[in-house]
Amino acid sequence: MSADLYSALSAASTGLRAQTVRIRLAAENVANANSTSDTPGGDPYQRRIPVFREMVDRETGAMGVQVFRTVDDESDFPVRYDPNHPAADETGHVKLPNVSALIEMADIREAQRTYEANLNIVEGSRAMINRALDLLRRG
Amino acid sequence: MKLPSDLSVFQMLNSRLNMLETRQKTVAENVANANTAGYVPNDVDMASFERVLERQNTPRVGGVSVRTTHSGHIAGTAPAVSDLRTSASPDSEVTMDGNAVVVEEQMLRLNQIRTDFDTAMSLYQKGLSLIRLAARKPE
Repeated sequence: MSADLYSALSAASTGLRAQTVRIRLAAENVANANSTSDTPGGDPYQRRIPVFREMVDRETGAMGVQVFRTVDDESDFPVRYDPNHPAADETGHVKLPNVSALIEMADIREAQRTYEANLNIVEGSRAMINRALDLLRRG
Repeated sequence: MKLPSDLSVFQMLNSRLNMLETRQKTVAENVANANTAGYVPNDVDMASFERVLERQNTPRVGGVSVRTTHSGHIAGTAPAVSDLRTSASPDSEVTMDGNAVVVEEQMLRLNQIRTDFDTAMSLYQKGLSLIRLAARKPE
């Protein structure tokens, strides 16, 4: 049995980890969907998104994935007219976070789906390893 | 009974199992990078696998060995270089960020590998039990 099956396991585990980070970021975004600034005219919470990149595991040589960095979503902040708000500027407008619950939900769904695919890989590789070990048991 | 020809069955199955393990590794890498921008999935190059099998079936002529020019030199053995290659094989869809992994197609491939692996393993087991049958003491 070559080391390729173990490489498969390690690649799948990096995938699981990366998707977990992605879900965590989405959760942070949703949690801060209403976090405005506390100074007049200040910027509110800015949506953060992960950037994935290929990564070679030096131990096994498997091409895994990692969250290379997280970047801020540079799209415009929606504004709402609310003159009594502490973050309202001189015209009475408050900048709201550029977080859309719908987009975050779609993102979480996709992350979940990819997470399950990686789990399938883990299960498949493990079954293959067990199948090979069965040769020892039953001959 | 000519044993060497029977043993080549094991050799052939060994090559196939190796190929399937490498294939499993590439699927794991592809799924791990299912959301990496610009990633193109890989698969085992079947033409290279055919070359491996072909070379196995033709008797080794000479082979490469380290040249010795002095009686004190160690003859050495040339490491068995695997001819198995992987090459890019994009799935049916490419997303806007240049990622060409379709998780469903990879899952399909995963199941195919699993079935092929089980088949090859069963044949291997069968071969072992046939040898055992031949080696059993007469009753």
